[in-house]
Amino acid sequence: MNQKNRSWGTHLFDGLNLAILLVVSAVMIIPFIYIILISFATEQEVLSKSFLIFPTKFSLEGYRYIFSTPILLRSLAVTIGVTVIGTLVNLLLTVLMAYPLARKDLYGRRPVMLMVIFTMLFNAGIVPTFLIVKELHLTNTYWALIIPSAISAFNMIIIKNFFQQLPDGLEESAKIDGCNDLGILFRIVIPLSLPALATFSLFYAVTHWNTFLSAILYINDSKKWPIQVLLRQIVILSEKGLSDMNEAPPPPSKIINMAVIVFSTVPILSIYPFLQKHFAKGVLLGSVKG
Amino acid sequence: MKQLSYKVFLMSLLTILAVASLSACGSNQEGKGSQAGGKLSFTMMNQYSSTEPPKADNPIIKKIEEYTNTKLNITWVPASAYNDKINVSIASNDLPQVLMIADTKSSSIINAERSGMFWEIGPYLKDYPNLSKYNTNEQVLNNISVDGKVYGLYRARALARQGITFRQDWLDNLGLQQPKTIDELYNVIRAFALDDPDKNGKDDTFGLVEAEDSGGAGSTGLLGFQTIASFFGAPNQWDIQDGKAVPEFMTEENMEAMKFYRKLYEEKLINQDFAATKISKQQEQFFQGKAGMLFTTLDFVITGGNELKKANPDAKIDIFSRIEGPKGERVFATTGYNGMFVFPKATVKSEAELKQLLGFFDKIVDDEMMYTWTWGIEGVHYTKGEDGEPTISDQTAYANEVSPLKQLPTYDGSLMIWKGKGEADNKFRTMMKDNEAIAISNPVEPLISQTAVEKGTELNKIIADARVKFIMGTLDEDGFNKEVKKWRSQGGDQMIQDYTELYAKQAEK
Repeated sequence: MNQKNRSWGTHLFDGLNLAILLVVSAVMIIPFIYIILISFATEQEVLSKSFLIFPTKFSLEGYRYIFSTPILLRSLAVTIGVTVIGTLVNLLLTVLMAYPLARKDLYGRRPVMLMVIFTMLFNAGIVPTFLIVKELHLTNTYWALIIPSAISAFNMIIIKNFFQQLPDGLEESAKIDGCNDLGILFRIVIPLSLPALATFSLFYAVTHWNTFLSAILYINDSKKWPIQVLLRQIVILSEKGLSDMNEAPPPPSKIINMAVIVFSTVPILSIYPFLQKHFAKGVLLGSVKG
Repeated sequence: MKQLSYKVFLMSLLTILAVASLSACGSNQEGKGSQAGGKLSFTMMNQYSSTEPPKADNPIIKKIEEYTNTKLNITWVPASAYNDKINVSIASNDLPQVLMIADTKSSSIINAERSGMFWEIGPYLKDYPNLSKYNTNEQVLNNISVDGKVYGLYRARALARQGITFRQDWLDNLGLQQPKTIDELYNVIRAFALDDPDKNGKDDTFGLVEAEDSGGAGSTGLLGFQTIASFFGAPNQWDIQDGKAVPEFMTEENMEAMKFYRKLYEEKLINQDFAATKISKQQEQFFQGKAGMLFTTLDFVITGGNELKKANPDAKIDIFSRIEGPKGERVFATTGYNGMFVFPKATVKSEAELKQLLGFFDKIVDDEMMYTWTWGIEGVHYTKGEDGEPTISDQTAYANEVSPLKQLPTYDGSLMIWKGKGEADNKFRTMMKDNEAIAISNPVEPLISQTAVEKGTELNKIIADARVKFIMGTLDEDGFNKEVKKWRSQGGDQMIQDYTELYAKQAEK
């Protein structure tokens, strides 16, 4: 648009747009800043003032608590491990399932798709899943957090549709050049689908990062718990206190609470900027029906 | 082609179902009650409500194992997710030998009890000297029983735990006495709000701080309301009048208590956003010196007192619980327990094994172990003074290592008075003990109304909302009664009928 043609209406619109967007982003960002700043405050200040956003005294009490016990670092390591390995497994299995289903020449493609959709509509529920995990001797192993959720039917279908809209000619010419099916997948299809795969790896990674209930159900050994188990316990404890004993252990203070939230959220948050550029593109393209 | 693929689809579906049903059948038990070398070894599932689960090298666990010649295999589950874990364990029959059940009245537990999944332990209790000392309170046994049978070893807690915590230094500033009657209580709340009790020249305090409680079927919607209602003489959730069950909110006394709250609200003596205040926020406001009083548990004088001191070192905190109302002094009773231990028949195979386990629980509440639960280990958690009285020397170690393990014994020592514990500590314990005589129990606690199980929480919400609206003045008395009518028509009448019949049946026995 030419500068001269801009009327006062356009300016007004831009101004309003800017103002609204600023307010919206402030609403989203302020709680984060609040959490981060409180995690650096002193307990006394948090207790004695009703709302403070800039603590006058900075302290590392909360973080000192976190690092005073090995359990938080250990669970963070577990979470990172499960997220990385889990996401790789997710991607590999999802692609291996999605690609054949995207090929129109696959015999029995339809019934398989129907079966996949069936699992989306009818879910076995917690108990049967637990029994299967137990019978496969996965309980108390990290695999219990990875295998049962190895493929998300929904993500798989979107990736399948993404693959379907790649031109058939590509595959044919690859075949003429002497490439086999696996070669086509790994050397042609996957490189072309990186934006979509990057997006879905983020989806999968976030799911793994937030794993909580399956860890409680399948893993009894507290050394193998991911960080969300601890985070949830600490947050709920300091919200309402779960013990009714006279000499219950004291609930963790607010600064510890906030420090743990920062500690367990920042790593996954820091992945977003790197995948951001693929994000819109990946989901949009993937959602177009092939 | 199309028809064929449907056939393939159906076939594969059938195969999957068959495989799934096969794998569901063969669930076996792992935890065996082995007894190698005379040493008892068993598995247990229990919850923890500290930030971390107790570590394997916890000195208290070591001491228990040594003292009882036992090997403990405890699966610690965070309290914030305990009921999910329990439900899955029970539904999949994946049970340890000792199972702590927190939500003893959930339908899955009651069904499991009725179907004979757990040993009935009631008849055995009398054979154990310590268990019969701490775990045979008739009121509590009645509360946990299902169809008159006791399936669990309850974890005893103070029966009369409720009271009022307030700022004694504010009271001194105002030259007032601790209240003895409802009118005096009102005057103190009023003075706390209006007469500048903190002497800072600003009108920045209110008398009472209240919070919402959405805790399910038993909750009144407000944390402290039950306390004030019992001062006015209202029953503890339910009452039996002329053989008929009557819910608390249909009584005249409840209306009086609501009017009291309404008055506090109108005169701005109570926090105006009480209906949306979380318990953590409520306590925070007390610590910040914005409010002078809250209705809570008597032991809050210790934990709350510590927090208050952090924010304001000059503050003084105290408790009282006996307020003379129209029906005399009354407080409402808790159920007297928090969770219970059950012994699944699938893993505890014989009566002999059950007796061994009960023996373990008996032993960990004898005098020496009660001492350990209270003080920890000498040199690690406490030291003995010249007069032989212990004092806790390492508060952090105590909080990390001793407190969390109080999930394990069947008694938390709530009424035990120890010399080295300090005045405030002994005061609340004495009060709890004395108040048992005036504690009002819920008569329908042991009765299981199917309607209450299915709809209780949902129905209760109608009343909880109406109560808040009445206090805030958006509903009048008629409006409240209309909501009660709604409660009755949506299943409340059925609940009343259930409880009336069940109570009559129970009385016959």
